[in-house]
Amino acid sequence: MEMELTTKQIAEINRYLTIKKIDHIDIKLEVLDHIITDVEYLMSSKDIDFEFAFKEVRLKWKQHFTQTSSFYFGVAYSAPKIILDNAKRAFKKSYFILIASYFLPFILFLNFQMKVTGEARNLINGAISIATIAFVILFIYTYYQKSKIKLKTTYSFILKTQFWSFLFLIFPLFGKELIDKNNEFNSVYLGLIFAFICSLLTTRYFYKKHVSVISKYKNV
Amino acid sequence: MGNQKLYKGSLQTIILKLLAQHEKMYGYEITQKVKELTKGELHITEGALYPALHKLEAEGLLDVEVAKVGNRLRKYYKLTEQGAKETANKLAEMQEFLKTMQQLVNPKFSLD
Repeated sequence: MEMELTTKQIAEINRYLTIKKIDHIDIKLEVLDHIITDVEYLMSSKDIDFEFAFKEVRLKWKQHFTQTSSFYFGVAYSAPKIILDNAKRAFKKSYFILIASYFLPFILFLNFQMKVTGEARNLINGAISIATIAFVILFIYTYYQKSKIKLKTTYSFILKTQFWSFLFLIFPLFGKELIDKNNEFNSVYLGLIFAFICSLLTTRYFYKKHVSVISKYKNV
Repeated sequence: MGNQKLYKGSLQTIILKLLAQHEKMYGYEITQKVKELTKGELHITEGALYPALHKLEAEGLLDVEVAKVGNRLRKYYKLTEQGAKETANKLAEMQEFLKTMQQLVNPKFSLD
């Protein structure tokens, strides 16, 4: 019959995972259960004590817990390999959509001219500015909501790495206009606005995933 | 044990097939079941199992259920409706693949 680990032994495994920065609940609970079950199995089948069994299991997981970074998130954001691999899988598609959301409008509207009256130009520029402010408020609100939740998930890691998308607003923040006085579209501005909208949608999407994962675990 | 690379491409199909036979399973249970069924020939590592499970879950083929078991929480995986259909497709693909491999590795000679 398999033995069951004591609360103290489980706490030791838990502490080990915390040291290794495996504190994202969607991964941690699964890994914790796996390690506990494996240790219990080894203790019974090989008739060894907890320390030996846990050491053996730690070796199996060692490579999955090493800190690593990815091209998708940048070197500034490192995480244990098992977390990062999961985050990469979830984020990969969004990453390429994000890149396209900047370059497509930028290329399509490069050297684009639009004959508009001064009044219409002011109206369009004004509407874009108001929309930008609304997007910024929603963006900040999303991060505020996230900050209120202390638990971490793979999705909160992704959200943390996407905060820099504020940089897309460098043009609007520095008072540039979408259509200048010569009726020329500022395609860089347009690309950045699209990229920011895309980033905002991505942020909302991952925030909802973060909340849904947490509710799944909290309701147990 | 040297055949691990050959099995790598079939990992998702193996997981789906196991889940089609059991109502729900957890990670460690899957590794042990595979070891038992293959008499130790195939050993699914933690590094291969969890990414595959998470990918299947993200694709909507698996659903997750968290339950308290003893003194800890356990994450169970079960097939969704879409997952059940995909299992049938993947198994058919696998049969076809095995048939082709059989023909390549051990062709039957005939006088025709």
